[in-house]
Amino acid sequence: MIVLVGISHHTAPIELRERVALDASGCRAVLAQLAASGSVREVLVLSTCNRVEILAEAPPSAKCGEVVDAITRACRFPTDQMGKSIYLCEDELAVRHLLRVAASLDSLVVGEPQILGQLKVAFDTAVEAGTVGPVLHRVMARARRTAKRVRTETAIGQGQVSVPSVALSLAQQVFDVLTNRRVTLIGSGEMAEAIALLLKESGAELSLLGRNAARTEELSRRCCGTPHGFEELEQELSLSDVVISSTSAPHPIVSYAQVKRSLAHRRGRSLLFVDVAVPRDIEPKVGELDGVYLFNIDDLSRVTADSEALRGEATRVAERIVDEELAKLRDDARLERSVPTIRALYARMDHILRLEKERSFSGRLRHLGDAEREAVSCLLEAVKKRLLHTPATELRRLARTEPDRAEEALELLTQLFSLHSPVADGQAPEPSAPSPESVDGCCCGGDPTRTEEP
Amino acid sequence: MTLVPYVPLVVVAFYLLASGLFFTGLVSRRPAPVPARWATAVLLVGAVVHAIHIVHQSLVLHVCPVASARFVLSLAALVMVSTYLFHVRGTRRGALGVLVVPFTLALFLASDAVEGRTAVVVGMPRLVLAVHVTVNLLGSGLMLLAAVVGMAYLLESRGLKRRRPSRAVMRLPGLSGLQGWVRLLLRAGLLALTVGVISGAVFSDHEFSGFFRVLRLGLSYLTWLLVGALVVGDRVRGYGGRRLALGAILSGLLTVVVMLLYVLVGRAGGSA
Repeated sequence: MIVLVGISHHTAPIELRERVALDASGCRAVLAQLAASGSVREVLVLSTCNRVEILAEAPPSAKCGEVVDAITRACRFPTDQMGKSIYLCEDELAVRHLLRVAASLDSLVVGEPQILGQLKVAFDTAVEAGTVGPVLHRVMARARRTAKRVRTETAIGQGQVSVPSVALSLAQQVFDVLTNRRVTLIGSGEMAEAIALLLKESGAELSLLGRNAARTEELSRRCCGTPHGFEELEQELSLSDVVISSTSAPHPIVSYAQVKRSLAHRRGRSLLFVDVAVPRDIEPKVGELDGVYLFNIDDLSRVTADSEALRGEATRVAERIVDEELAKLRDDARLERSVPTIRALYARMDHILRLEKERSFSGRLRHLGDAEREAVSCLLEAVKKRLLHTPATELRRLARTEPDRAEEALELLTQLFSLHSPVADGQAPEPSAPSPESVDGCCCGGDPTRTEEP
Repeated sequence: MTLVPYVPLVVVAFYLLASGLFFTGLVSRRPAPVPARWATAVLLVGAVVHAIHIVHQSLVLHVCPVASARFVLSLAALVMVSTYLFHVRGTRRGALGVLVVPFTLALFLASDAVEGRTAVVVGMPRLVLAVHVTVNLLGSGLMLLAAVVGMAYLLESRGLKRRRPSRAVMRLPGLSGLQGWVRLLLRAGLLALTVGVISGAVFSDHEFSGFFRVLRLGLSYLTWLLVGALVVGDRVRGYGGRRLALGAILSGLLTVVVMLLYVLVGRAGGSA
């Protein structure tokens, strides 16, 4: 049973999402807690600025409700929001959701490239924590393949597709061109770097603030910006035209009082804040000040309405790709069910042939030399393969296309060949009824006690 | 040959020059521009000559200040400009010169024309009328345009404030661009309307002959004062785009009312 529990920008406002957002250590703690609970066998935690989702694989005997309870407890999801802001998917729906997330179809900005990297990091974290098994491996591999196909086979990646580009377009909406405009970037993480590079191309005068002086300096060098210490924040607010914040601070770092004080020195110039952090870096009340415009990560989704409409056809093709990959995953899963039986059949045949060879080479055919014995072995192996190839192929075909008939065939095969009962070495399986051919003298499958003159 | 008849002309010339310098200082990008410093000096000279003119009228020509409305207007203008010169310090109050000096000049010209004599612009009433009509039309057009741009600014600002800009809003020019346009149109409109106020004072003897004409005159001055206050306030205190936009819209509305009064009541001569 596969279960997915989560909240995203589609279902929950930023005020709720920032309460349950997890950083790297938080994700590891949740993985450890769920692994220790015994409710799940495999688990993966994805936490980004737009979603917190847990994908878990539980044994068939587990109850879905218990699994969900364990997850919501570990992540501290508010239980009163279940069914409202928190969604639950099982089995195929859960996998489909993951494929769509990986293909950025569920993203704030459809087609954005960051989500696949974030999913990979989440997967690597789960692998390090030892909470990934064959099921999640397979699902994740299919998710990566889906994302790759969507990016290469559709135009979903074209146009305005990233949070940094949306932030830039907002700044241009307020200031037309950004040449000679002062933009202050707070933070020195990956998102801040992506935004900084984009702003550098636009010709803005870049000013970087961060608590990590070394990282801020390095980023400033790469983006031709000017580094500043965090204590210069208020001064920067007076001088800047645009402030973009992307830190991992758990509480707001730009307050209403600070911004209000800075307005006295601005002489009526407009000030744009873009807060892409979760939890938010800028107090929401700041947006109430005259001449100040504040956009958070949720607001950016509304700005992309134009580009999403243009990518409508690409989205449809991408959804089709998701369906195809999901079907392949489904086929693989069905095929998986037939593999043990087919392997058991081959193993049974190998066992029978080995026993018969030993009996014959020590009895009737003891006069054969090494070369002849080798030839007999090859012959038997070839006959085995030729005989079993068609049934195995047909079983795989049935598993993919007619799962019900495949189940029946597997059961019948298991019964006919007693595949369920293990055979100890040296013990011959019960002889089947001799066929007419075998009565006429062919020793294959016949009474092992019969001997014939060579 | 006496220079006395030319004294009013000298006063007008200095006041005009001072107005121009004050306006240049207002629109200059530098915080303490040279033109503004010279404007005060030029105004001072003009005020001194004005004072000489009044003394001459009072003591030599024996004009009675109580009986002569002309003399009262001229004296009021001198008092205004003297008070301004006494209190002006630095750029901030210096910006008010953009309003004070033209108004002083208008009063002075009105004092000269109010009894039917236009000693200052003898022989040029038609030229002055042509200038007056042209700049007023230009100023009115600029005010209407400023009002439209102001409305666009408010629409876009509102959309961005609500964090839900519609597609139409996203297609408008950038907010700072619109703010710049409003600022530019207000300044250009102020210049045009100021010339209109000054040139209109020449015909002020016709302006007090009916309620609607007085109303039109009052609203015209109100529009000019409003625009002047916006431009000066923006320069001195840095008005945000919203305040400028609202002011521009109000100026535009007043302009429409004045134009309607012209159309409905009559357009014979007159000031702004």
